[in-house]
Amino acid sequence: MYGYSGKVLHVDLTSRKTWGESKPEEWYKIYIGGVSMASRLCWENIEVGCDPLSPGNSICIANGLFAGTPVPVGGKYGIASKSPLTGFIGDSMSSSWLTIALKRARWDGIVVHGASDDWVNVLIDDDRVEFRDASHVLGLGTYETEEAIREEMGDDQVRSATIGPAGEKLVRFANVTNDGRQAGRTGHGAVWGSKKLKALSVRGTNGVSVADSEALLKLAYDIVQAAQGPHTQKYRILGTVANVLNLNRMGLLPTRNFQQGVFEHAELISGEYLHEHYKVKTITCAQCPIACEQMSRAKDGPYAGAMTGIEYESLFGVSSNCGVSDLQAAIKTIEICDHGGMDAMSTGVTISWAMETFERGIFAKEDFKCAKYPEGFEPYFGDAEAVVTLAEMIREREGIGDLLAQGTKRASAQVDEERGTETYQWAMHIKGLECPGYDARGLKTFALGLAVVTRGACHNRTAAYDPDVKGDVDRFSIDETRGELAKSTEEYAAVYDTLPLCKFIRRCFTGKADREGAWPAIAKLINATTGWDFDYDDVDLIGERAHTIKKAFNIREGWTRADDHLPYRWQHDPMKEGASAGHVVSEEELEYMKDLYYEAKGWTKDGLIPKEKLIALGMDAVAEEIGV
Amino acid sequence: MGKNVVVELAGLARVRAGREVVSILVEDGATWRDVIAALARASPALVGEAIAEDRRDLFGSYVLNVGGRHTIHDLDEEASLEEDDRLALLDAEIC
Repeated sequence: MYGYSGKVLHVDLTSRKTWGESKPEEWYKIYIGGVSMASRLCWENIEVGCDPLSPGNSICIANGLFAGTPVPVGGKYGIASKSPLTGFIGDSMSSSWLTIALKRARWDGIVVHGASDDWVNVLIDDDRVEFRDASHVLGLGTYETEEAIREEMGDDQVRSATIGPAGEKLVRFANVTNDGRQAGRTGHGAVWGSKKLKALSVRGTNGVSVADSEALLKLAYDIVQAAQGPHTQKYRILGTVANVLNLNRMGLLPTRNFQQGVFEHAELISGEYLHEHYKVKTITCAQCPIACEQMSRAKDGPYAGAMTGIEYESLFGVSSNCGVSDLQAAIKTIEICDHGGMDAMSTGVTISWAMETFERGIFAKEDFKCAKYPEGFEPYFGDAEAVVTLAEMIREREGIGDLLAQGTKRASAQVDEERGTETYQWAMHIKGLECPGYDARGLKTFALGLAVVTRGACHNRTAAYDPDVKGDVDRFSIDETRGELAKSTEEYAAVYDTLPLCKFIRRCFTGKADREGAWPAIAKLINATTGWDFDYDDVDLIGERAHTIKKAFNIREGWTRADDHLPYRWQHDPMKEGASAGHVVSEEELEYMKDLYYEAKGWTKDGLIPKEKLIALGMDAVAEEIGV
Repeated sequence: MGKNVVVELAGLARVRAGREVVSILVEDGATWRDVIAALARASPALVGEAIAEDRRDLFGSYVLNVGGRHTIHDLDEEASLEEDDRLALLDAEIC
């Protein structure tokens, strides 16, 4: 088989046994790689109904089909497990050198079972697996752990995915980090921490075989050329932080825990301002000609020297959404998250929930006691030092940080139960995952897309903002087209997440970001890599299959239609100012759109999947278990 | 006759143009393509970045938006604008 080794490595941390599992070519044709294959491995290897932080959960990693090949932006992998935030599938992506090392070690995927008694670094050295003591790197940050392991091994070709203090302490939105990239959102770091897995290191020394290297080189060359042209310029020069002013203009920039969509200091946290004042360089993932990561450094003041890569999603959460206009404080907070190994979006949204809860008089100054402020502090919106301190407290689970480390949904539920309050009304999550940086009250197709995402409130798993923002539909109203739009955009995104290819390449095939341009080109890449005979329809099916296996996992874990919800605020509190003022997504609108979406997917009115649908997708065994 | 309107710039369009806003005069009966042409005349640096080389279309994922609320979908439509209206040249590919 070209492009794949045909085998998955299993590592049991409880018994310290390892074994390889061969997979047939037909299995690869259905699940391909990335988030789809990782989710399928979850389906096969996670105990149904398990506590996500128990040994019954498994860590499932699936390499990218194009990792280690000349295909640009193909150096990516998928990682999935049962999420400790949502209780459903938690699928993420990361990229760069680790995935190439794994490819060269000739493993298409890794499944880590059980839990270790002692902190461990699992070293995969081609065919050999070694359980190495990790006690000496405990407490180190993510980047520091990676560097320490590399030095310890005396080989800079050893690449490691690591967790930081947040993962060790089971912060439910802890990340897994490798090569400066974060597999974020759904709490993989906490799953690793629950297994006492501090790091997973890989050294691969083999070549990567493809079916037609000459054709692949030619195809890759053309895409690389296009990827250095005008269609990716915005990512190279400003990065995704360019979104700040666009979204603010449309009244969609989450501000003060989504109470507003317009931030009066948006200019001060904009990509343009960052570019001019704090950006020091751009860096890139391995195998990527775009280079979008805007490395930025605080120059002066209390956070001078803090430096990390700034993305829009991490930025909005710790700045406008906390009312903070100090970009240097935002850089510091994101640095705390990146080094501590926790999701900056969830961190920011959880902190903003705490700030609103304080401003409403439910939390008091003494609730915020910590070593740094023994008498407590008052986290009003706009207090940058409070945000920095709360991020540190979450990372260490210190004081109220222990509550916030559970994520917005659980923290809110606990406070409401203990104090008889209704803080759920401003707990901004879907399925337990904190909301991304777009106020969906003014993006109604996107609201549907977010409500039905299998991993919770994630902008990356649905591209349903596209028709709203581009004006293809009226973003303030609904109609019968929205179900099909939500289906179409989520499956479009799932193709990229499964190969995986970075979505920033999407205009580099024909200049347009659509299926018609990309799918034929992607089919050629797949065929030159594998020797298969994929066409447009086969590529299109990749997305539907990827989404279906994730949905199947959720159904098996007890998903019901009620789990496809929106935050209370988006359904009941219209914003009072800005271009999106006056709108909510009512219960009736959401339920109507869900009907349309389930119908477009070919599912039942309850959102369950008919057996024949699963069989048609080649998922016969899945059909037996959850098909209706 | 005509209407004076302001076009707000953001993102790379602002970096390229070196300014935050551009003022243009939109003739009565003008289409949105005429608005784009007027914008290209007022700020030639936008051509090739946000405005297509023919100066009648937008480039890539850029859109024209009125007041932050309404995104123009059909550039051949007449541009119904009031004096001092604010347009925004936005990059609609937000992820």
